[in-house]
Amino acid sequence: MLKYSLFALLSSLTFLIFLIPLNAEIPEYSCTWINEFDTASDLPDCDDDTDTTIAWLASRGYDRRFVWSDHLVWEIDFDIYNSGYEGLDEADFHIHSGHGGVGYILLADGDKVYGSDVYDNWDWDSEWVFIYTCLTLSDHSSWAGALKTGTHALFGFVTTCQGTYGALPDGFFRRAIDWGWTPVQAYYGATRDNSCYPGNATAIFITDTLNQWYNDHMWYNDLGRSTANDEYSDDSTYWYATWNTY
Amino acid sequence: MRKIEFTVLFALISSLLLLPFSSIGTSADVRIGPYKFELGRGFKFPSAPDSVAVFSVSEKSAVNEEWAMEVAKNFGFVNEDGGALKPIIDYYYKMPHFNPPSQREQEKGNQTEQEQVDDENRNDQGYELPNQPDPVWPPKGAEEMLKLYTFQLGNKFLKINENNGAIYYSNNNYMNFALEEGVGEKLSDDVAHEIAYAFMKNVDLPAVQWDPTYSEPLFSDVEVYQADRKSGEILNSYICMKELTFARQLYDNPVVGGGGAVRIAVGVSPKGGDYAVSSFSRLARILENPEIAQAVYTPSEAYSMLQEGEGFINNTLRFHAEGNLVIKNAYFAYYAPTGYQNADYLTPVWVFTAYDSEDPSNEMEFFINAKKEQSQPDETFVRIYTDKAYYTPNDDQQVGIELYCDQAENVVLYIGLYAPDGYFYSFPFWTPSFFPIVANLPAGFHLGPINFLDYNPIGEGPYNGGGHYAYFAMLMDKATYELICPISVAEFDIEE
Repeated sequence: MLKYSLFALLSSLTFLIFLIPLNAEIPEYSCTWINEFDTASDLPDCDDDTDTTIAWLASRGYDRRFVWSDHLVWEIDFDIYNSGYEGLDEADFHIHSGHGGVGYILLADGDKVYGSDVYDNWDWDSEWVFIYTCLTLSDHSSWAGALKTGTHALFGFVTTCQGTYGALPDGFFRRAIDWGWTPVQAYYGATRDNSCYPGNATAIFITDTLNQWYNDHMWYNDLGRSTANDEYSDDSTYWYATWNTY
Repeated sequence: MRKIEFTVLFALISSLLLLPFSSIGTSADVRIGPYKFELGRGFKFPSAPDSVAVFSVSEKSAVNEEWAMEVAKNFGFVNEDGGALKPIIDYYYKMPHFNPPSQREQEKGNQTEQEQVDDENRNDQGYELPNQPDPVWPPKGAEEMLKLYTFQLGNKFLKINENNGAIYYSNNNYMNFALEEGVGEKLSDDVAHEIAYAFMKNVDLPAVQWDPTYSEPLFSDVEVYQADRKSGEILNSYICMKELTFARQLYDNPVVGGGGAVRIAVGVSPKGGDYAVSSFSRLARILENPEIAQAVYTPSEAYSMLQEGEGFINNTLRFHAEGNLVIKNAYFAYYAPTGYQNADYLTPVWVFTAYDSEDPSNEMEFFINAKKEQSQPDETFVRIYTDKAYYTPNDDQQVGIELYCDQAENVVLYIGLYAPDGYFYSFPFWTPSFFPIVANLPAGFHLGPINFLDYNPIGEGPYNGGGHYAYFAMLMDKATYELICPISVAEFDIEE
């Protein structure tokens, strides 16, 4: 019995030694932005948000998974099938910048993506999802349903919001990466900073676990602070806070 | 304080490198989507002022490293010897544009059984990151937009924006979102207000004339919830911070935009023992040089502009509506941009609050530039003006000019001041002799209105006590010295 256990332990260690290098993965980002809409006013600055995101994350060693824009942003980019191509769930950080409505993301052709479309689907690689649109997360219970096991945080606005020509993502990454803040602190700080977010809105931050809320840090933050674990197994609850930017 | 800007005016005219004075704060016309607007039931347009002041930012507002260090010291950013910390110089960059693909193939939404197995394995496996490469900062192609002075002391951070004087401070020891239940509830509005007020007093920032009173903040709680992922039912909640918003006003009008409020949050230490300001944000620029008597659109004119998407200042608003946009309120305000914009002007705006007729909870605010664009004059004129007609010895005076030439002219501009001693004094040297400013003006040239003097006149130049004065300006033909338009006169009195 003892012999067998030792053998099993040694086998496991050997397996792990080989497994870790094989599974070493560079963190990835993905971006979707829409400036031109068929059913809403065009926006001038959503590409600035993704340019800022790309600059910050690429500078810290993240790889690009995909960047789609305008009419080439499709529903599947938000992982509506949870199989095959899984869109944002294939990258560690995703930003979507564009218009939204009560509970949905508006696509360029007028189609909408609701939280119910992605329920239980974010269970793979996604860690942080920033939906920079109006009103989408007003139905946060529906969108939080997407956070099954992998995703740590989802954040955005529950009211109408303003674009900032990249200043809000810049304020977020400056805090989360350069200053090593937790993502919730970084987003709170950026939305309350007049220089990063000048508008009057209600912001929201959602995490899957309390540990992620309190101890999470982005991969490759400059202070080397550790990232919180994924939730496993799913406890079917989520944590969130809302606040006024004014 | 003497500040004479005649060199600018003089250089502009005499060098003939003249450009029409451009309008302030206008945005390119943007059609506001496919939306139709309608006036809500019972809506009435508010009364409109005939004219308003348009403010610009004083050069005294310039933020430099020395100023930033002084401010940082007040915020407690000092070294072991009690001296001021040196800032870390950072920049906000306009990042290089990434061109995404212009074509895309249909990607499959379903997967094979093998792919499903792969996915499941992937979900269960942990992985380790390779070592991080050295950061590459700034990114190649990034363009420096403005300078930021940043200070760090433990968990305290201070960031000062050189461009618009915006200050952001945080103390992360008190920016806690996960506390023991009930700890935050003990933080009352009154206690939070007391802490915020003491903080403001302690940091002792230089006052600006549009600062709020700090006596009547808006309070809001930052509350953390635990909820069920299927039903959304709230299982647990607690307050972790109190936010206080001090709204600004200018001449009794609200200020909107990022500079419109001083934002403070008060938080609790992790163990709940004490409270302190966890974050603070304020725009600090000093305003002056109001362009006096600036005509504004009426609210009904602004509503027409809104329908056409003209003068739409906050055109980054990310809303979508299913129905018509119903106007429920309108008011006059000043728009103080921040973000990474210059914030060099406060633009008068009409604010329209609207809602989606299909979902009245979906509200949005549109800022329409209220400053009436000058229509192109049809004949040559010159106009000189002062900001007031009566001054006490302590008052600063602002003097401005506007002129237009309908055809190309070789002209002489003469600006003078008639004083109570009976003499005429010539601008810019205030000598009692004729001093012409010669210029070749192109047809259609339009200058101003622009202020060119801003100072306390007592004891300066030709001012020699109380009494009745008059500025006058003339445009004359250079060859004949005949007037080519009526003389403009601006009379005023200084207290005896």
